[in-house]
Amino acid sequence: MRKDVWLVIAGMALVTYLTRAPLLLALARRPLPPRLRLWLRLIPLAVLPALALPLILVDHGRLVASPAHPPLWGAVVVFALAAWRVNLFVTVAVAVATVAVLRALG
Amino acid sequence: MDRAQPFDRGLEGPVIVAGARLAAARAGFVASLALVPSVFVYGTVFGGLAVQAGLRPLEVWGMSLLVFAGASQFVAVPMLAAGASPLAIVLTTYVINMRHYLMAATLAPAFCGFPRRWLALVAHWINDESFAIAVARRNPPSSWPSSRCSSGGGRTGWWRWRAGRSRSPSRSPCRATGTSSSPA
Repeated sequence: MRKDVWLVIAGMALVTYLTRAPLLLALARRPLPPRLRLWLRLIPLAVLPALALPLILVDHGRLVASPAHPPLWGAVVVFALAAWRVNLFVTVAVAVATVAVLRALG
Repeated sequence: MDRAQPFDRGLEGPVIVAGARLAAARAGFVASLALVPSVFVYGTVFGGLAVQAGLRPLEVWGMSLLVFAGASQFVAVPMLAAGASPLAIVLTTYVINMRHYLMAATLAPAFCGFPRRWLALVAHWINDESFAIAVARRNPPSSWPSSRCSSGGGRTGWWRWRAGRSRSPSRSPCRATGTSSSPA
């Protein structure tokens, strides 16, 4: 048992729990005003691209400038299949395969 | 979840509610399967990285179980290995995970009517993956079948249904506006 490592883990666990629990507990138990509900509905549209885009458009801390960047093509595949309403599992699998093949070739 | 909708319209016997919940739980389980391969790889990579960085298997396991937030763990491990100060690691973790505030706020209405201690437990499983699954199915996320706060007007609250008569349902501020029919 290394105390310092476990202390860090406990601290990480605590602050992470504090990012998850308070709003879930506070907002689950009362009806929300329509404006707030609309705002909440728009959050996923903002959060998910914000998580995904840096993985696609940033390479080693720089904005990707050339098309020779496999994740870019993975994203193109995802967009195309999603627009076509293909099953989520198939979409993910094809996109991962695309990136893997491009990486292997490049 | 669409199949669960008719159950919210007046048919609210405990058996039917339980059936709708089972269907909802199964739908959620099936939807999550698509993520299993990528999460498996992600987790394996993290385990390898952490052990290489000098963490012991029990510590890796403990961190994954207690922190349960991949991105921040990937950042924390090299910091640990480099001997960064505990405060810096914890603070970095907090900043990276602040996105959970937005996710929790979005998911919260779907949990209306849940007892507090259940919410306190459920909160730990809010992460990028579960959030994506929840909002991919319906945005805003659909609520647990026949919870009293669902817009479908189900009146047999999860709270009351589960707790029977031992607790006063009026403790929950989110009540349906319709007449209250008592569950069996």
